Amino acid sequence: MTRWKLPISRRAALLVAVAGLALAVFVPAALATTTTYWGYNNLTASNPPANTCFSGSAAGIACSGWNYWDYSEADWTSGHSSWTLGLLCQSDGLIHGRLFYGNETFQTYDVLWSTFCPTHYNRDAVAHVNGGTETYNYLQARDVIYP
Amino acid sequence: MKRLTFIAGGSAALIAAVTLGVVMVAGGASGATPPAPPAISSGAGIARASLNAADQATLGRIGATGTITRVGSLAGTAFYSIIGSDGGHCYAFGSEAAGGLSGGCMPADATVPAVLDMSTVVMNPVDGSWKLDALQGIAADGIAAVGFLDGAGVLHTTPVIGNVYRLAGRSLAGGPSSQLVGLDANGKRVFTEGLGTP
Repeated sequence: MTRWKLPISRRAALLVAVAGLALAVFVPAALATTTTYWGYNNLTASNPPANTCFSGSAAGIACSGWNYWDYSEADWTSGHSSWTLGLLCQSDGLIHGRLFYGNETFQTYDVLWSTFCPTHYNRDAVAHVNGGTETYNYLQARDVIYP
Repeated sequence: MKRLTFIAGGSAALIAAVTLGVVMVAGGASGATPPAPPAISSGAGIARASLNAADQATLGRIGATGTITRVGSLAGTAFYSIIGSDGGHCYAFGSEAAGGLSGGCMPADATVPAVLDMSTVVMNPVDGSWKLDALQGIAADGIAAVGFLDGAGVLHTTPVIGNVYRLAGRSLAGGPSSQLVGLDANGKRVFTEGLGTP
C-alpha cells in the first residue's frame, strides 16, 4: 500500500494555510466585545420609563451610550409586543431599526450599523412599537463592537 | 468464554434499550418532529466562504451555522435562508453588492410564518411615532404580493418576485392598527400579522 505523503516544506505550508483559514473564520467572532445595556427585562410601552434613553425620550425605549458600535443585538426570550431593534443615528437623532411584529420567535438577532445609519458613531437601541393589544417582550439588548 | 460473551451481549442490549428509552422520552418531551417551514422554491445554495469574514462571524454569532441559500435579491438587497445550529431556520438580509448581513434564527420547534418579514422602520424617540422605511422580506410559494396596512388604514402592496419582496422609500406612517398582509395570485388575503396580536 502506498502511503500518501507530502514533503516537509509542503506540509508546513499546508499547516500555515489551514491555521490562517481557521484564524480568518473564528478570530473575528472571538474578538467581538459585547456590552449589555438592557435586561433581561420586559420591554413595554411604559418600561423603561420616559427620559431613560435621553432627557425627553419617550417611554419604552432603551439605548446604549454613543460609540462606534458595529452591531445592535438582542436576545429575545418571550412576549408578543411589537418592537424594533436598531440604532439611534447621530445623523438625524431618529431610531432606525428592524421591525418585529411580535409574533416572531427569533432568538439572538443582529443588525449591522451601516444598514441603518450613514455614519458609524451611534447609539444602539431597542424600542417598543405601539400597537393594539400589546403586552411585553422579555429580552436582553446588547452592543457588539469589533476592535 | 460463552458466559463472557453472554454477559457482554446482555449488557450491550441493556445499554441500547436504556438509550432508546431516554431518546424516546426526550423526543416526546420536546415535541418530537419540528414543523416543516413553508415552501420557498427560489434560490440557490452558496458557499459560506463566499461571504466576507464579518458576515461569517455574524452568522456564527446568531447560530446560523448550516447550509446557506440565497433566496433572491431586489433593489440591491439580498435575502438569505440558513439552517441553524439546532436545525431551526435563520433568515438574513444585506446589501447585494457589499454584503453586511443582519438577521437571526428561530428555534427548531418554531412555526415559520409564510411571510418572513424583515421590514425596517424609523422611529422618533421623542414621541414614539414611527414610519415604515422599507417593506421587505421573503414570502413562501403561493404568496403573490405583500402589503403594509398603514396607520390610516391604507394598504400598500408590492409584488413577490422569486419569493422576495421589497418596497422602499415610501415612509409609510404606522399605527396601532397596522398590519402585514400576504395576498395570493387572486388578490385574496391569505396571511395577516398585526402588531403584537398573536
